[in-house]
Amino acid sequence: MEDEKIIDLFFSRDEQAIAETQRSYGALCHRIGENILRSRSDAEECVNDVYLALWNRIPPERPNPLISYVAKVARNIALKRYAYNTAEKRNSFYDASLDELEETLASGGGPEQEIEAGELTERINAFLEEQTPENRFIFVSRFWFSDSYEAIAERSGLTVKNVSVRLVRLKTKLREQLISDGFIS
Amino acid sequence: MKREIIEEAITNIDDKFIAETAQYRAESGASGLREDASAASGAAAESPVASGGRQAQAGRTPKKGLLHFFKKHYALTTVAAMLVLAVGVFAISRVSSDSVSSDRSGYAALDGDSYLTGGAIDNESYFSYGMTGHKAATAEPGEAATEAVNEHTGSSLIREDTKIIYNASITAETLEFRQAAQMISDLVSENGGYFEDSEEYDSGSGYMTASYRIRIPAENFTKVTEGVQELCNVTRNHISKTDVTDTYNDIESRLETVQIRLDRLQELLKQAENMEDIITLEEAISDAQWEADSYASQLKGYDLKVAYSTIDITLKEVYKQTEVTAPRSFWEKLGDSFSEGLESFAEFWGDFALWFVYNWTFLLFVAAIAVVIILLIRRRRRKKSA
Repeated sequence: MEDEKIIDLFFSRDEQAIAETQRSYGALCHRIGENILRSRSDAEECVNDVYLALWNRIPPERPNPLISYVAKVARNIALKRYAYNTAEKRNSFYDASLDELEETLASGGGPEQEIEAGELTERINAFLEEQTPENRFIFVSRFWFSDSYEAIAERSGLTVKNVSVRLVRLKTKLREQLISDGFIS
Repeated sequence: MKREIIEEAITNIDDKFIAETAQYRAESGASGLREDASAASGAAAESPVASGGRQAQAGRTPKKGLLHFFKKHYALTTVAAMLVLAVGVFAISRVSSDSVSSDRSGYAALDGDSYLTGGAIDNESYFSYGMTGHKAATAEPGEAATEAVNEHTGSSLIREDTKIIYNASITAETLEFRQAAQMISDLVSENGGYFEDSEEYDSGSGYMTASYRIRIPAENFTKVTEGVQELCNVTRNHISKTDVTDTYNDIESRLETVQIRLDRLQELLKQAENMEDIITLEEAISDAQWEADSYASQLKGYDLKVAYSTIDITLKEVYKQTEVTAPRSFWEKLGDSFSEGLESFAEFWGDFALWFVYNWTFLLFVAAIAVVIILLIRRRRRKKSA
């Protein structure tokens, strides 16, 4: 079913909207939940929370595109659950990907310009805009969807080694860009 | 940089990038979706449509799978393409060589075939001699020709002075070429014939083909043609006869007329008194003599062809003879086609292997070029990625 029709079902408070959302984006939500929570049962509960959240938010919201909205809701809910489940154990793909990025964007020790999250988001958006669709897919899959290297390789048709090399180059480029902008020393 | 800032920044990247990635994830299928499908099986108990949704989603085929495979394994793709090209080149060359006609029996239509057009005058001159010689020559072959005609047609209504030229064109196949060639030679010798032309050659793949033009006394024509059929498997047998009686008689009449004129001129020459008349008469006699000789020569040519029939034989060596069988049902034909197809397929690959080995130096050269191209492409990709 098209996104527009699914949203119309939400607006008419038809429970079929949940079923259609599950059919179209259930797998996506589940994958995001598993990547962050690393637990199938937790991920399933997370997915149910996602449907509830969508039901409560639509209406009044009329998201477009629906896919990214659902993905964001799923991610946020998964992160909250993750934070609730464990504050110390960091064994999920989510932590691994954040660790990776944190290491890449770590300051060199010198003075650096204070950067807001919003500003960094803009820089990352500008950076992604310049990349090829394939590189963009790899970056977002790794750092937003928290996919493992193997999962990214399989989806993109590349080898794990290739994905690893490309991510290193992408992180290096992002770092160089932030250094030239003065956000990293 | 603080982890929280990075975390928040990543969370809030532009929706379009998330949508693009999510869409591609949904379309690419692969193991991610299979894991999603199996992981979601527990949640399916809550909603009966979940499993259908999973299946529907899992059933999506990767749009870019094949293209990605080729891009990823371009070396393998290049090798496969070269192999297909090699097979294609071999197949075309094989078809081209099979289509070249080496049917030498057709050449019978090229040499002196005017006699096949029904009574046209053949101006070939096998040998030349005078009228008496000509008449002597006509006596026996004429009779022999008449006997041959009667024997061949079984007709008793043909006049004794009928002049018929017999020709045959036979295409035959044999499993033992040398043996068959020798037996044909013996058959010709036994029947008083001779080989006017003979050619033997390898038609390819080690199989021999021979083309013979045989001249046989007319009375033995049928015996020899039937004899060839007993010795080999005849696949084509064309027998023709040309009645040149009218043409022959016409030339004969002209010769008689010229002879009469010649005799008259000789008489006049004896009576001539002045030099001018003598010279004129001698010129006239010379022309008449030349004309008479020409007619005599033509008649001699016809005599020879009537006396000695022509048989063109094309003998092909085969490994399996053509079979003439009773009409078969569709299923029998289908079965035969199937087995013949398998044989042909096996033969094709066997020949391809031989061709491949024969052309190994050339193929090695082409492979070297392909390797260079692949290395250049890889280097270019590395530069592009960097």
